[in-house]
Amino acid sequence: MRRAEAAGGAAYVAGVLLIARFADEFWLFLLTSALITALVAVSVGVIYDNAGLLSLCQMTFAGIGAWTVGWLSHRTDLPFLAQLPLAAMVALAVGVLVGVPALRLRGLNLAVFTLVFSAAVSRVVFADGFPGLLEGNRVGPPGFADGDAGFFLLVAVTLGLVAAVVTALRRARLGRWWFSVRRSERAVAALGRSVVRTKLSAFAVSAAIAGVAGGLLVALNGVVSGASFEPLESMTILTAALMFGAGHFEGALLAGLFGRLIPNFLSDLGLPQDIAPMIFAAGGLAALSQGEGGLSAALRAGLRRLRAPAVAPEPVPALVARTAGTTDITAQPDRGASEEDDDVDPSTRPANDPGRVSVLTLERISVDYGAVRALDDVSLHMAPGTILGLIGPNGAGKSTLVDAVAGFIGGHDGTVTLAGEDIGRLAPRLRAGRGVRRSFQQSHVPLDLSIGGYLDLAAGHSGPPLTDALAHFGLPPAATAVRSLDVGTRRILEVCGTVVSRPRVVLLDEPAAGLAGHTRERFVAALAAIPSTFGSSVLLIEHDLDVVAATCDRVVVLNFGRVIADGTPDEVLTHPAVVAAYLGASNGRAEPS
Amino acid sequence: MLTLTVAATAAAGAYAMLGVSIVVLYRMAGVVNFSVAVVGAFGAYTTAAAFGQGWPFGAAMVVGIALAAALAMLTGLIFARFFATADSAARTAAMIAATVGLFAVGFRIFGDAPRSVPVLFPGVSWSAGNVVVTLSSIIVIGAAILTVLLMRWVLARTRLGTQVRAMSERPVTAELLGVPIYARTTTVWGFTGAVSAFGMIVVASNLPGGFSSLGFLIFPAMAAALIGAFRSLPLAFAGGLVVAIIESLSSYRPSWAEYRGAVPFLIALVVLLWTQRKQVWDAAR
Repeated sequence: MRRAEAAGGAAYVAGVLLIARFADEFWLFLLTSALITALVAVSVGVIYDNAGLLSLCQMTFAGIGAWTVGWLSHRTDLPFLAQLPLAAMVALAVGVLVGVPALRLRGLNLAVFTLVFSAAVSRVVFADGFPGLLEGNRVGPPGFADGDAGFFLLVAVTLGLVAAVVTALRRARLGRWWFSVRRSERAVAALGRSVVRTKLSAFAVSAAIAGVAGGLLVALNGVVSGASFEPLESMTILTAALMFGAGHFEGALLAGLFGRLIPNFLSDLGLPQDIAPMIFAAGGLAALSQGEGGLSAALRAGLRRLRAPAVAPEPVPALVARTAGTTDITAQPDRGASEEDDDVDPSTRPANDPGRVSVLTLERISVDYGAVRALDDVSLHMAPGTILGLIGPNGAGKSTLVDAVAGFIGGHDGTVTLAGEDIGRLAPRLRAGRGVRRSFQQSHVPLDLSIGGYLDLAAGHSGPPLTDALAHFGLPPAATAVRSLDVGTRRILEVCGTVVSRPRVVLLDEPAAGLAGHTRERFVAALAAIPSTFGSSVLLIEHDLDVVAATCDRVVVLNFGRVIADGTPDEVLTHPAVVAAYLGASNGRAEPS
Repeated sequence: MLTLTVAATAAAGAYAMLGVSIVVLYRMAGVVNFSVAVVGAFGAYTTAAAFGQGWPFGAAMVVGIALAAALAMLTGLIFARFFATADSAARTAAMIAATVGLFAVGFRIFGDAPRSVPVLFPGVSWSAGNVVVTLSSIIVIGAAILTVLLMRWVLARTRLGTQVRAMSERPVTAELLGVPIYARTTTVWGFTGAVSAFGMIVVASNLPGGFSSLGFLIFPAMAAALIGAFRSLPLAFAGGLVVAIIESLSSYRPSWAEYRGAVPFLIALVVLLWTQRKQVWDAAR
């Protein structure tokens, strides 16, 4: 795909040069305005296609950029090339200001909020006209880009640079976080990253790009009016971006080109220009009904199929024959190292040392969902370097317990102590940062990343070499796209992501569900070796009692939110209350052990 | 001293009506209807056009409302067919695309030049102190209240209400249980289209702008729906009145008047800061 992108970039440069050399004044103007529209579409691609946020005020940000350039040319002697970055900065600042109240909003609320914001700016600020323009001040392009071809080249270069930066950002950590937050906010927080900061960065970057577009637009036209930046304009460009798939540069470029050229073709055909938005609406609806990504994603998928007709799955080396050699999975985790000693100062120990403290202690945790008591006075502790099984019938409160420990339940009673520190009031990402990682019942791994890209996010800066982790779980090579993995492998990848930062504690919510046969056996062996390989203690929710017996050092049984048994697998699985809870016998009264 | 003009009371009724129909559709079909005002505008302008052709006002109004209902049903069919199982972001995006298309069709048919829409029950009004109330305002506010009561009853007490609630949450499950999805969806969409057209006909005679100025009533309507948190019908109704009253107050002093357009935004800001003050996680575990 990167080679195809390089070829696409070369085609863009060649096309731009040809147009600048041969196109006449009319076409230069039309194509310049098309490229400016494409720049706005790039900004839509960042906010919607990458971060999954619906913003209905991208043209408002463009208007703020135009307003800034108008003001600067009216009041200052700054050259245009200095005005443009300032326009981006002002739009970015406004984006952050609007983003801060909007930062907790998702889908629906963000769309409504940006819509009314757009209306307010349009009516209160833009309706009064743009600075200097009423007085007849025209904003001119810079001297070196004077003339239609020169300004066209300036716009084309700006668009190319922005596209290159955005493409690089998408592959960098920041862009991969954007894809992750689109997939699941919970998963982002569970990896120790601020959801708010991630969304705000995408919003601010897209606002800045739109601001640049606005600055270019005012220089192209000399004057602008508020009509160009009405809320309906933002909605129309979003629709065109949906149709063509602005998440990739070629989609944004097509959105810009067709956005400006279709009205022109229509009038050539003797048809009214204003049916163009109807075409975008139909195209946008059609693209959305086919799934994410619009035309550009469909094109890329087609290209991928053409180039690699049938990818044979990589033969995965058998776990015991791995080359990494860091782990001997036949060895049991160190079961002796579980004496409790809560008084040891945790700060004197490295995070991953399976020392002699209780690494995680829950005391009297209770959670109510309305009238339902999901957890009732649950206390338990986890010894370092061990695997603690958490079993119980459906609805027993197992996942709620994981949510409470990981911080996803706002209010619960009781305390959660991690290596001597009370983390019970911390936000999920702070708990993750202190060494509590979790997996989810349904995979939240973002599909747009590669395995290595995801594990790099999960590891932060302190992970072991990724190849070792991949080998430990028998995962395909790091460059493999997550989208190409089957569901079971995605789940294994998520578990790998929880341990790759060598956290103190990992909470795994039915990690082996849906895996079968050989894959399952190998995965269970890999699970059992997590403490010795990664130094993490494991809280394992699992329904399969064979898996529990094979991996767990200790087992806690929950039923109706209460601990009904706690001991070694052998003790617990024969405990009368457990048998009663599982088999539904009515004779054994559930009694906390 | 509070002065409520004729325009303000009519706006209050229309905002309440539009806000309530947004919430009704959101609860029943799981879609935020950005097109509610533009569909209503179709109804109002069709009514005006038919009236201009010499039709009696009542008949013109029926035609306008029926057309708006039909347009809304068509939109609803598209959503039921293609976006029933799409996630919330995709559905919202699809709604935006549909709204852009409806605006374009409206501009093509009606242009964007101001048109006069006949006044419902002209000349009948009462004034009490500084508040002037026309009969048409009372009717539209009354109709909004009736809608709230009717919809609360339908949602809570009837089989239809149970079916559409099931549909909006788990469309596939509802279909497997034998709920006639297309029939139910079109009923709900058609109803909200008719309701918003009625509100719009009443308010249109007071709005000097063209087609777009009617369609842009989506901003105060969204603010009203937001006050109801997209859940509560009575609060959305009250929200419509609040938005209209604050807008009217902003016209009280000339120096405030230019900020009138920011009222929905400011209300949305306050409401969202309050309702979203605690971190809320997306539903999927």
